[in-house]
Amino acid sequence: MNATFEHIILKDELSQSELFGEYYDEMLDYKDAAQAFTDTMTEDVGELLNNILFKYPSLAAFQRDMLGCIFNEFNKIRMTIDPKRLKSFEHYLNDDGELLLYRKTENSLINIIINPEDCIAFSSIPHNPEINRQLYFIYPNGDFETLAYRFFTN
Amino acid sequence: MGILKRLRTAFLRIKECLFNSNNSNGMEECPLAYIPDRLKTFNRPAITRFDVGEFLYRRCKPSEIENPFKSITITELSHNRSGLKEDTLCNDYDVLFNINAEEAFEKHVDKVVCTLKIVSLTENNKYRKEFTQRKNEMDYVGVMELIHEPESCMYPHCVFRVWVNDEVVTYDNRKQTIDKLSEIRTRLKEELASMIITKQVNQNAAPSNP
Repeated sequence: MNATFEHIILKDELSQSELFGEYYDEMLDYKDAAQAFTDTMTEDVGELLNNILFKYPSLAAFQRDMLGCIFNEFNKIRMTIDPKRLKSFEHYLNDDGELLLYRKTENSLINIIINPEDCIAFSSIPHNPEINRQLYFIYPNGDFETLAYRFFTN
Repeated sequence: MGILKRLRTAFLRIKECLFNSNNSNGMEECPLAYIPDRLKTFNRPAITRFDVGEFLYRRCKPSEIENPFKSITITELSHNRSGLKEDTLCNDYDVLFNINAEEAFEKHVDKVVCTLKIVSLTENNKYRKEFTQRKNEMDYVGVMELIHEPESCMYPHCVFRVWVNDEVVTYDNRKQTIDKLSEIRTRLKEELASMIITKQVNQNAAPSNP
């Protein structure tokens, strides 16, 4: 009960944020909790980051740095918001050396594309062509917090 | 089957050499007997325009449909076009024919057909998009255009061709061109990925920057 109360207060406070209110609102809505991480290995964000770094030893230094920035935000969500909001996702290193973190939802495909240099990109492509897709780029020192929220939204 | 195909190909090549069977386009006759005549180019010229409502067929790996960013390349992405309303050129499954005479099989059995419908084009009935990037105080322009480019064994063959600052991007020069331009490369891939996911080619659609 106490935890529920704290959750309500936290949600209320975070929802008032001008920049991120709508993202916090969606993230703190419990109806999708079943899709959150269930694998015990990935309960620990740091361990998942290590697994990715171990699996793809050819990653460029830029990609390793960007991964660190992204997982730092994932960890903040886990520690300060709710670990159940970290929904499962997959990763893949393609032939062009782009590291993909991606989620397939019922309605769309969401990718964080970590290029070998320069920038990373966020892409959300709905299956329904009537709904607008999203694409934007983030450079070092960019807004990784919003990126993390968008990745786990929907 | 493989030996028979090679013998047949060798026979047709000898025949070509003896009788100089180039057609009026300067294109060699198709040496593959298993390709139906309706798909062979013969003397037909390329059709420079496309139609809204026309379909593009592409053979792809099932994993590509799951997440196109995993395997899509942006150099010479081949498709078959279904043809204008008044002149159907091919069926969807025709794209599974192997038109490379050097390979000893007739059909790509490990691939599936990905179908795209053209829903909008430019005023002159083409698909053409530009993407820009500024890097190291230089401006770069990437262009992607859909072009009908018949092969001797596959008249409906067309490609999404990419240029960077007027230079065609090929497998050989991609490291010096598009691989250095992360933004343009990602925008091109995102455009192609959206085609595969929405099953549409849409000249007028573009992603928003939220």
